[in-house]
Amino acid sequence: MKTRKRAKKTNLRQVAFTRFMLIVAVFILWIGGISVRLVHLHVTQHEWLRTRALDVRQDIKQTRALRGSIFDRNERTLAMSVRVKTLYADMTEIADTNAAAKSIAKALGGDLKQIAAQLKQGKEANKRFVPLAKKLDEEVAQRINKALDMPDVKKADAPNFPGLHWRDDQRRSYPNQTLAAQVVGFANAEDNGRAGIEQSQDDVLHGAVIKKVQERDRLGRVFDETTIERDAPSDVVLTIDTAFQYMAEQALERGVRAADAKSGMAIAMNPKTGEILALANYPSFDPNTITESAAEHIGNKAIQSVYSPGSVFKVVTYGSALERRLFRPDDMIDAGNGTITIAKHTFTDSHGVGKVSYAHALAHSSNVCAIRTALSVGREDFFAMLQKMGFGAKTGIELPAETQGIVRSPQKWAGDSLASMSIGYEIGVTALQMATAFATIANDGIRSQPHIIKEIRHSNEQPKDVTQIQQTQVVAAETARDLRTMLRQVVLTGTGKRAQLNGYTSAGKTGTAWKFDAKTKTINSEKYISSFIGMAPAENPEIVVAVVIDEPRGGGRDGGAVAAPVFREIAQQILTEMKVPTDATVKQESLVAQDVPEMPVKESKSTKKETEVKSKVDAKPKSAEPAPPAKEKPKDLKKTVEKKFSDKSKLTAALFRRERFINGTKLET
Amino acid sequence: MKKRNSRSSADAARRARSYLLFAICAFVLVAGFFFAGRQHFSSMDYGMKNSQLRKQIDQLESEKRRLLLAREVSMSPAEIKKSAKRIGIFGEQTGTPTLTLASAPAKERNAPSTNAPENPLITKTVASEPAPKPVVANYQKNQKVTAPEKKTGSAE
Repeated sequence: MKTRKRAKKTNLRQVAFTRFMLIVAVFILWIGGISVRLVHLHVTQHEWLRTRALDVRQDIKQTRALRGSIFDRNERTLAMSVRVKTLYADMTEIADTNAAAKSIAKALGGDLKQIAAQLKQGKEANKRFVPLAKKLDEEVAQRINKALDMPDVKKADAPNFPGLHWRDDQRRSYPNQTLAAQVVGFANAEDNGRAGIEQSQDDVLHGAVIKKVQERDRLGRVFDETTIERDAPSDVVLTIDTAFQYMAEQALERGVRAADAKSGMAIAMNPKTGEILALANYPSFDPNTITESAAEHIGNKAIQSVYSPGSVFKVVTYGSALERRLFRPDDMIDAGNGTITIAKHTFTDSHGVGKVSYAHALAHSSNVCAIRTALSVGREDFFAMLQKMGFGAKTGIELPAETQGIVRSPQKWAGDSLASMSIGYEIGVTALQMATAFATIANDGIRSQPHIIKEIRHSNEQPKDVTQIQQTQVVAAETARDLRTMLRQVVLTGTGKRAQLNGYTSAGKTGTAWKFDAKTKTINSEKYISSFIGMAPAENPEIVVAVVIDEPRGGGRDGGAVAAPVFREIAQQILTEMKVPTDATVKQESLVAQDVPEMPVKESKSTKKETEVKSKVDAKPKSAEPAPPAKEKPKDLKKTVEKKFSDKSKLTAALFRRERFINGTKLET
Repeated sequence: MKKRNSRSSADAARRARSYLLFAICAFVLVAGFFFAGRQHFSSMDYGMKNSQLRKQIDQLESEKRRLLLAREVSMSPAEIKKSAKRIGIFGEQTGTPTLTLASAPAKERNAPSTNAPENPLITKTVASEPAPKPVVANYQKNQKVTAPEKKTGSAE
């Protein structure tokens, strides 16, 4: 019995041990199996599993930061982007396209057939982005969300409709519409600047891509978010003043309409700093509706269009002679019989001036006197003066597609080129180049580089990139002062009487030039470019205003009749706005200018054939019938409320300014 | 017998101490798990609220821009002209100005401006959803943080 018991005991232990070992073996096999599977998953299927896990949990959203804004010098917005939404369908999430199309068409109020076709095409191509409604405002988006809401559907984002999502988008807005449109330019739907500041400053304005890595739970709710953002876009602050800009545009529009002209441009700049205060083109365009705008109105002609300046250029001629101390403004010069022949080319004055002072010769825009002055200066010195004044080179303004103008080197000049250039032919300039030359004279011979950007402001307000003003002494201060004295005579007794201001002295020069016809490659005596460039107050100029009217057709077509009144209107309003102290008698009655008509240069009939030119720069003037002098009715400047407010644009400008004053408390942007 | 009894009581005491220690360890472990779990879900909850607040900031920023733009549009020359015409400052037909609203004809006042676009750039001034009450992150124990009402207008 004992032996049996003992045997039984031994067996029990063995059984227990065997069972234990079996369990251990099972565990080892189990763990081993799991380990093998884990190794298999981690090593061979690592990438696939990781991607799948991230797909379920992680969501990467890419949005573009809002494009930077453009402000005027007083922080008034000229261009700004706002968030809008685009509704799209992910066709991988929509099973029944017809039912979805019905609901969507009802919510959007669109064409059912069109939406159904769109969805069907998307489904066939298995597209994940089928845009249904683009660039909608938040309010509209919320209305659509309500209309599409399906209570049974559980979805993390709106609308609560399977397969439909919103994408953040942006829309560029120009609140002032046509105001300074050529300066501001426009950006296309892809957020790329296409004209103006939008184009030239695209790098700083362009909204960087913002990458958001979002961790989502099983219901799609975001519980963790990492934002990866590159440099935020910057804002651009211009030197333009919207009130001045509006005044300039209104005055220019009136001038162009009154002269029945093709187009016009006006520039107002601060001669001391080179800041452009207003840069107007007429006709203009609305960047909000760029597709409806005429292509020819989009360009900024003030810097992109080259023209022969005509008599305005005589300032450079007399300036180069004054710089060489060849005469004093009150010295006498003899225009003879009013004709001069250079290299078989006879130049004629529209009206003989006889023996007069240089100041009088410029005031009455004598071609003969200007040519004689240029001949005394000589080719090289005259060309050197052109270069110093910045002709034939870009001004460097921060606007795209600026042209450098046309100035040939003296080696390529013909026998009569110096004479032609001295009176503003055989040379191509931009309105900005001319304005800058006059600004140099206004600033005692110091040339301040014209610029239109005041500062570039980064999102965190610091640091600010402020444009550094480049100033160069181009002509002696004495030369500039003498020129100003001579230009003052133009306004007082010469061709620019209509540029006289009320309460301020002014100085300037008229210009009337025939246009070059690219088709016939000759001067077209039927087409003019009339201009007036002036400064005020004459002694210590605060502003320089250049007005160029292209192809005036009605009434007096010379610069004194067409452009000078526009100068007067712009300068008068801007000086008053700038609160510049008056330096002349404030006249209650209008100025009745006895016009001295300025005509394009005449030439003798015998040499007419020779004047046909082969190229634009060789363009030489030919004879023309004198244009009828402008008949301007005296304007009553009585300060009655009725009269004051009868001028709509002035009233609007006043309201505009007042509004700015009232809203002086700046909203933080 | 006495010896055996005393040994067994000592064993029992030791065993009881072991059980107690084991129970404490188990409690600490379980409490740790609970604590970690609570922290985890709490962090997720705060993450969600954070995300909602970020979204709200974005919406408010957008709304601010829209308001700024609306302000600029309303102060643009075209809009000022429109307003001036509406209140009768510009007498279109006679050319003489009318400075008082009362004397302006009703038709004139309501007439749409020729310069202003028919569809203004900004048709509204307030577009964002009403802002939920701000959630103050509070990490004190046993204090319930009320989540903002769930919005339907998320536009991710």
